[in-house]
Amino acid sequence: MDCPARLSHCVIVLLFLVLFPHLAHGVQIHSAPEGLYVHQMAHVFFAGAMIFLFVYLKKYPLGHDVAWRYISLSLFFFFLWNINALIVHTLEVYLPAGAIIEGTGFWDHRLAPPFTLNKWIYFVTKHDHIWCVPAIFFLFLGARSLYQATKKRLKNEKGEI
Amino acid sequence: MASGIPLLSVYFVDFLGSGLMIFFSLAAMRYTYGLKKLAPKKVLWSYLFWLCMALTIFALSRSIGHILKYVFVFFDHQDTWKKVAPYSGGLNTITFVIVGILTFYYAYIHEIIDLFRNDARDLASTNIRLKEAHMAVRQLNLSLEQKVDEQINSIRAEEKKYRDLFQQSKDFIFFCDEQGRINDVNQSFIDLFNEQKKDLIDRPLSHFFFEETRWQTFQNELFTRGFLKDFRAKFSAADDTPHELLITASSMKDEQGTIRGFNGIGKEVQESAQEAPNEPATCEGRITLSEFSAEIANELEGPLVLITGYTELLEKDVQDREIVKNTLKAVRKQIKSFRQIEEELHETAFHFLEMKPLDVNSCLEEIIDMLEPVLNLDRIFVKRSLFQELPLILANKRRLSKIFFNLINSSRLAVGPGGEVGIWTRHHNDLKEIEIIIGDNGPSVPQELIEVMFDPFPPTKKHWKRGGLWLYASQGMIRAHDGRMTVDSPPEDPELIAAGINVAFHIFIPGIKNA
Repeated sequence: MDCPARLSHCVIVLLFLVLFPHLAHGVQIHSAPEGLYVHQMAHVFFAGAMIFLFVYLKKYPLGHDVAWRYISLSLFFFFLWNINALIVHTLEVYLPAGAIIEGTGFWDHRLAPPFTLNKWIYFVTKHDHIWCVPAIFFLFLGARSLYQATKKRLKNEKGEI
Repeated sequence: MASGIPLLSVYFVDFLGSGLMIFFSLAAMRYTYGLKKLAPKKVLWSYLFWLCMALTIFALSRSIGHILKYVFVFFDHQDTWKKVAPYSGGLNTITFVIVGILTFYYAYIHEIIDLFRNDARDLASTNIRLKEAHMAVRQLNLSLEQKVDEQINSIRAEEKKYRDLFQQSKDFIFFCDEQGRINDVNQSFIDLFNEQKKDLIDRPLSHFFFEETRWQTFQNELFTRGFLKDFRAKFSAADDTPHELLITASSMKDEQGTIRGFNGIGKEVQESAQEAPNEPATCEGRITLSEFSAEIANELEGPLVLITGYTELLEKDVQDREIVKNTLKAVRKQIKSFRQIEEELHETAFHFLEMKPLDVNSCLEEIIDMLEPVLNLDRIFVKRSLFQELPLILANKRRLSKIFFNLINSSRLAVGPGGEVGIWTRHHNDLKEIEIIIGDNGPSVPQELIEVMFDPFPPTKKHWKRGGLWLYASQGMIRAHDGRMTVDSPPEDPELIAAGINVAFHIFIPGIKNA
């Protein structure tokens, strides 16, 4: 098929799509759970990335000083945090209506009985900062150690010169 | 009091944790930014900075979102929080994805860094080699001119040395091309022949030979053996003055072994040397003496033949005159005495031969190898039957080789193309001597000719074909080795008869104990 013939066929198809829009399915409607699914998938992606980098640094270490141990720990805690977040987001979906009693203030908010395993797990995993705070803390320690070590090395190098 | 588990701890941890997240993420980002500033060219620090940046955005978005939630709820703006919450959650999701992408991308960054590192290492190594090569070339350039000068000066010095040797030598030196034309001569050569150099160049060397046969011998031996030592020849100058010369010559060959010419060095034989036959200084001198005596005989050959012939005629004419007849007898007796004197002269020369143990078989093989090209050319087959355990003999190799050479060459000329030459060596243990037989299937020699073959001056020219002076000289030389030489035609030996030999020369020489 030559080029002008192919172009004319394309024009015909485009005209058909424009003139009969009720047949088009290009714009998908995003219903409510999609946001949660995307968020959960993002957590899986994040967790996978953390464990990947953790293993990669074990296999191809960039250094054996304390900074890289801090960074490895940070990656491990971020991985745990993502798993924790996956669980808690999933349990939120399956908690029955009225499982949380909301009072007038924060101190009145309660987890309503009966206390099933899901509710206990939900309660524990809701404290997700016990994972992500150590993760960011170790990242901070690692960055600081690297900075100080690099600064010291450069200073020594300048001193030698 | 309401039942259920209070969620206050959850909110407390969430609020406090969010604050700590904001604090530590900003602090981590500060240090990674510092790292990037310290070493802006280091790719790893840039990567770490961007990873930290994504985590900080995630921490800020999540933590600020969580804190805002408590602020809105506390001030009873829950509706507002419900509107803001999806944006906070969406931003969190985006930061998760960015962190994931950046992390997975790290592996590629790492590989790229390794590639860069390897390239840099190769580049550094190449650079070092390049510098070394540059230094070597620079050094060579600096010393090249000096080295070339040194080489040229060395070559010039060598050339001058040889040129001086060539020009100032009291011996004459010549160079000829493969056709025997003179290429170059030194001053001694020019002085000897008293001609201009330009007149000598391109002239055939053969023109200077007094005798054509000597030139042919010179050329044949030179091209066959590749060299000649102390070759004696008479040269004639432009004014027909004869010069008796002693020449040592070598052929010049190219890489393929093809003869491209020859060169020679020599000197004129002084009269004093010819007058002192009894005081030869060296073996070569004695050989010259031998040849000198042969030359004398050669020169006297014509007159002797004439005198003998006329004497015989006169005897027939004066048979009735007794006095004249007696006188003629006296003349013939004196001729005989003269021949005895000449023979003694030969023996005197031979007396001083340098004798060494010699393996006759090897000597014969060398001669056959030397003559092989010529024999092949004439399609002459050489039958060899050499006794393997032949004892050594005490002999002068040079002279004996010449005898073998002459005998084989004589057979070659006698049989002509397609003929056969036979060579045998035998050991006669009872007589403690060895026998060398050189024969051929050429025409048989009549008995009357055999009787005069060893005569240095045979009566007629036909006797010269297979004998004469050279055979006489050879016989004398064999005698000098305490041996004897005979000829038989046709042979009586059954082995020689079976081989079809018609003329055979037998040489007997005493053997010595094997070393």
